[in-house]
Amino acid sequence: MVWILAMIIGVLVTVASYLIMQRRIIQVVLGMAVLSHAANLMIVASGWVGDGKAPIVPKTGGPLDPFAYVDPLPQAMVLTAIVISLAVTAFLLVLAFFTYRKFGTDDIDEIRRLKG
Amino acid sequence: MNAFFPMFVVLPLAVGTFLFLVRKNRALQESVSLIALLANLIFAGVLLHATADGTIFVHRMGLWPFPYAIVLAADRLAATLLFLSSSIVGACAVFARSYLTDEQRKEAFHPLLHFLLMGMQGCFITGDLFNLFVFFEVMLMSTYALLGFYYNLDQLEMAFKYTCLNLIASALFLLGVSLLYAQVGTVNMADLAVKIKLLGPTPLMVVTALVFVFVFSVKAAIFPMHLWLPSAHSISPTPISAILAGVLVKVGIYSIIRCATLIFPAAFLILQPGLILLCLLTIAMGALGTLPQTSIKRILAYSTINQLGYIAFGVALLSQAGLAAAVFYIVGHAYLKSAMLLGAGLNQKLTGTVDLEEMGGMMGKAPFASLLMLVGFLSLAGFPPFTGFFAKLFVLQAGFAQGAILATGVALGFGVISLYYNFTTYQRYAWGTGGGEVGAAGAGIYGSVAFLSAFAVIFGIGAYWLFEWAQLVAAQLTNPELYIAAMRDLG
Repeated sequence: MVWILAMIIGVLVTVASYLIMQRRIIQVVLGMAVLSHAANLMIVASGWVGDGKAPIVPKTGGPLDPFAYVDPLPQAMVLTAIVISLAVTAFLLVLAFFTYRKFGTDDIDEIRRLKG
Repeated sequence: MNAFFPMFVVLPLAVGTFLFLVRKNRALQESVSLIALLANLIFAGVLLHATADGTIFVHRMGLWPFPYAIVLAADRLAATLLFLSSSIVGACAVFARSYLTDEQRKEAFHPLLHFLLMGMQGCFITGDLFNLFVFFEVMLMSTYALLGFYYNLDQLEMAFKYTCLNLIASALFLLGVSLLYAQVGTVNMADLAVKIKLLGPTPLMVVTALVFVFVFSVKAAIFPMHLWLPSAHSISPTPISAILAGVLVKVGIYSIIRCATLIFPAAFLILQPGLILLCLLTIAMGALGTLPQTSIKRILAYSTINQLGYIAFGVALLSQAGLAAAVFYIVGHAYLKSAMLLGAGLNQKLTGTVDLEEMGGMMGKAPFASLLMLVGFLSLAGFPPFTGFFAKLFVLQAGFAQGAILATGVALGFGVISLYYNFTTYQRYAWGTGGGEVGAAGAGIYGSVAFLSAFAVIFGIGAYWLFEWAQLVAAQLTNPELYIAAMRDLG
């Protein structure tokens, strides 16, 4: 199962790299959003163990095989990461909007006043 | 103390929120902000005193047992950097009080300043890698907003670039955390150190270490990730530039030190030749970059890159002497560079420009201001008896003592260029032609510049005390067992 996740992460990173290298500012912002999702999926994948059962102790109790269950800690971490990437993406969108309005263009190559 | 020191995160958060709520009342906002910064500085001094005997304070959030709790820990290095950040941010707030007009300050300045402080202090005291990521984001979020503070064209462009660059770095940080978690199943730094040592430097672990080096070198402006720094440090409002150059870049260096001494010491030994090469390139890029500049802030920004190269060189030597030199350099450079950027702001207030060609001849027109700048430039150039001289001396000494003759020789060679650019800059600034009338600046501006410049002199004449402290810090860093044991016993 984990190889499906790996492939999805690969596709997301490819899409993100392509978008970030585009000229329009909104494509760059979307690329950033996709890239952070790839990183989030990577964290989920890092907690994948064995067959990937949901980490819930059954009512019957008894001795459990820890290697059959997914590690729940990365899933808790990824929640934090998702919230942060949401906030940063929202900020970046506002910044992109202001940049677009002030410069009057959404072409990255025309927004170049600074040296370095 | 164990229950008390998490207030370095709690206090700025509470104060920042409060300042946001009272944003309509400028006078109240400003005085509460300054009082809170003073309290923060006093607490940092108390903590610095308490860690002097080698105690490492540990606080488990939620009081969970050792490897499960998110841990906050304060050792000598963290206490040193806490003192540094709170004093520099405090001086910059005093400076901003007289420097920024009411319109320029806007309502968000002081709240953002406190959130920035919270993020930086959180980075210094956290003992958990994922928590470090969270504090990085808190810090960066405030920086993004402060960089694009006036929405003018330059600032918007730069804030957009800076945000994009740091978003990529954050994604890579998460990638590094997940790579580590997949290998050892923990994010607690002490626990990581123990388990990574058992695992040994496997190829995947070295790659993971490399990911972290990349992420932190974006923050610390190590070659090839240094290109954002000159624009960011020269276009942002001056009090913010001083904090960025003084403290923010040191957060990146701090994280590299933690990785090199605590988390991946074995992997860093393998990466060492590459790291040293990168440090030398950083030194070279910073020194050469200053030469064609005419804006005093841009010269100072390139010189920051140059100096960060020396600091990182000290860290990359991975020896106790190298770390001690790096800690000395961090403290010296933080006070010096923020003093000089505030000094550039002072001159901007006096002449209305930061361009050396338009400024010129300040020695005759504003003697006290140019005296303060003279102290700064002499120290940056590495002239005894100022901090800059001893900082370079200790780094180069550590390099030669370790037998890295060629690398240290190159670093020494670029010291000559740094001597050259600092002298020519001061020459153009103090005796150059051109420039018109000189205005006046408030006492708060002179006071904060003089306060920070005083450290450059004190740590120069009293270099022995600071170096002794730096060696104590390095001794604690080179024995990570102490840190791990403190977390185990108390945590």
